Amino acid sequence: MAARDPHAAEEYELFLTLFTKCQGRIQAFIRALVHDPSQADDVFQATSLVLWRSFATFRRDAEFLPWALGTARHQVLLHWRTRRRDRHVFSDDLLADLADVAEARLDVAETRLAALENCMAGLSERQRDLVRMFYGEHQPAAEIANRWGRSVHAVYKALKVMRQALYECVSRKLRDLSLPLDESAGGKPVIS
Amino acid sequence: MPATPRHQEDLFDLAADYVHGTITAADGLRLEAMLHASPEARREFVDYCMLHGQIALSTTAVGQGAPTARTLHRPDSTLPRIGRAAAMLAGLALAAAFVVLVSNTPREEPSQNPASDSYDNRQLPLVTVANLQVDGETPTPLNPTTLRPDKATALRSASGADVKVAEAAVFGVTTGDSGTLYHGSVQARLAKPDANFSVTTSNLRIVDKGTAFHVDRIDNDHVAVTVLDGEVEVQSRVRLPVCYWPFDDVDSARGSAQAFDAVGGLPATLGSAATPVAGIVGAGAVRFDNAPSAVATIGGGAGEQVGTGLFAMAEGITIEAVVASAWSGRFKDYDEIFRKEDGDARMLLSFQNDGTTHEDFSEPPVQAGPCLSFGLHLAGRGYHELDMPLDGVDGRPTLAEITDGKPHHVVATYDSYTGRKAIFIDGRKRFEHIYPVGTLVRGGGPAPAEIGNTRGTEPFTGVIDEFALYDFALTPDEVATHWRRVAAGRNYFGSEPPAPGSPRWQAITRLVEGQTMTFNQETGLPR
Repeated sequence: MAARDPHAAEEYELFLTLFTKCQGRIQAFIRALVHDPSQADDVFQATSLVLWRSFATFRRDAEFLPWALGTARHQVLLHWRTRRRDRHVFSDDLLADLADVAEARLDVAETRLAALENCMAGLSERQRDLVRMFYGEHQPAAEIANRWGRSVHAVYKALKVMRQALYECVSRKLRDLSLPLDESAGGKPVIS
Repeated sequence: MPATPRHQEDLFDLAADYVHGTITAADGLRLEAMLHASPEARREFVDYCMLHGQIALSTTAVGQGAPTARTLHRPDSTLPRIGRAAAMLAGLALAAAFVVLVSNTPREEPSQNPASDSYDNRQLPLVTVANLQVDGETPTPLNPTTLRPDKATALRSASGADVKVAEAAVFGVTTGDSGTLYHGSVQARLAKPDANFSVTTSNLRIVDKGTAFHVDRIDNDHVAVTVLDGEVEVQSRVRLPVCYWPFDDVDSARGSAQAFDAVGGLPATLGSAATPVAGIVGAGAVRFDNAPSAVATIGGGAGEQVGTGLFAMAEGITIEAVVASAWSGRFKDYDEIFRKEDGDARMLLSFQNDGTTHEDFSEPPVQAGPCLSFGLHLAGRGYHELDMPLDGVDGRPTLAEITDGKPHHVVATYDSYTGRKAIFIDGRKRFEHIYPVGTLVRGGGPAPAEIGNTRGTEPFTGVIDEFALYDFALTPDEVATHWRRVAAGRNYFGSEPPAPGSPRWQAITRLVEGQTMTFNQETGLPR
């Protein structure tokens, strides 16, 4: 392979710097709108590639995140469009509205993730196993049901209950952030 | 209206089914109505889905042990220490991945291109769409291809449908869950509950709904559909493009100029030498000034392998644009209108003059000289170009006529149902070549699609407007209608352009077990 152009190396470095700073939010945005983890990963990868390929045209005085989210939004719409051919998915109008909401919620995405980590400490061992199998290892519900000796419906129900509990816990912790700060904790709200 | 706890419970029940992919059609509509009706419901739904996504990113899910309680900061503060460390690790991992990624991603850098000239003739990996099963022998993997069996033949599609192709039928196996019937009959039965399969016959598509069915192309115009078990839906093709850039809405607000595909929302990012200008049709068009960065790079739509992605248009294709060209016509000067360089599965429409350098590509053979070239890879035949000489002979335009600076309607079509590969200029067919019926296009794959250039080396000179791609061949009548509309200053479709997310197929009817019905495949009407 021929030696790489030094200018191209600088471009890689700049792109990586900007991208790594924003990748958590881009990923959160996509995952809020594409629910199957492997499909969300595909959309994230496609977004990353499009961003890289079009980076030469990115105006250097502009903000990277809005530019990147514009591309991510189109990739999400494209993802749903290709699935619309054979099944019902939300209308474009609604998807656009949900994308607006997701973009607006990104400001608190990292805080929500931190709150979620706290809340997960309160899960039972069995619930943590469920998280590991379903979310970490992408095991289908049917396989988990087989392992547990339960029905698929029971696995979905367990996921539903666990998610609802985590949702309420995260919401409660975020609400706590709007309360007066606890001076004894160094001016920071403490989550337990 | 804020969601009450009861509403919220209902919403979360539906949201859970939605994220699990188990939601019914009726509940899907109910969820959609709830979200349409209430901003609060939309916020809660997004929070719920974001939570679902973030659980997968949690330390518990990714196997870093049990989480511990930690200090939580306000949204406007920096990340918590552990969160920041995790983010940094994730960032480093991503950075490492990107170094690999970008090292393997061709941009406008000829040094990374293994081709010796403007053609990259590598054979990229092809998707496997089915396994051929012959008399109990080990199944043979099958790439997109057309079967012409001299005895009844069985295959299992990648999605899990058992397909029997009758003796003397002509059947194109195009994707893992669909095929194309050119002649004779075919029967499909789902081997497992989540399998699906559809059979296309030009303008009709027969889609299983958990069923077994038989399709018989009884003559050139009629198709008989019999349902053996369950139910099928018969659909007719909506004759609109897969992608369409009218270039009326170039958005420069997000850092670089982007034009959006009016049908699917794909962005086309303009290079610095591609400038929005007043439209030939509508408000806008794009001028390409013959520099390496004169390009509109289409973001997305690529597939992982040849035969996948939005541009894998196996049955037919149309490339349509309105161009005002100032091409020099000189030897070795290439001006691309459109190109996607997936090795020898490329597709292109470009002005070329390469003498005898690539004369083997020309089908039919033509005299060396300036031409308008329409290149496709046809399965079983390889990559070839329909090189229309710009010589003024037999109704073809001269170089001076096509580069007179005035707008011209340029359309290239290939139709596997007729085998015709053709170029139309200003509403009239000017050049064509005919292949055997059923010859599939081999396209799609990982390369980015580009309007007005390829990899920075073959920039267009002039203006391109109303660029559209179709996954079927427009008929000569349709091309003539589009030209008349363009000449009258309107878009191809009359007044309104296609709406975003327009359906590609429209249901005609459903048939149930025991029913047989015959359809005219052009009109979709039952006989």
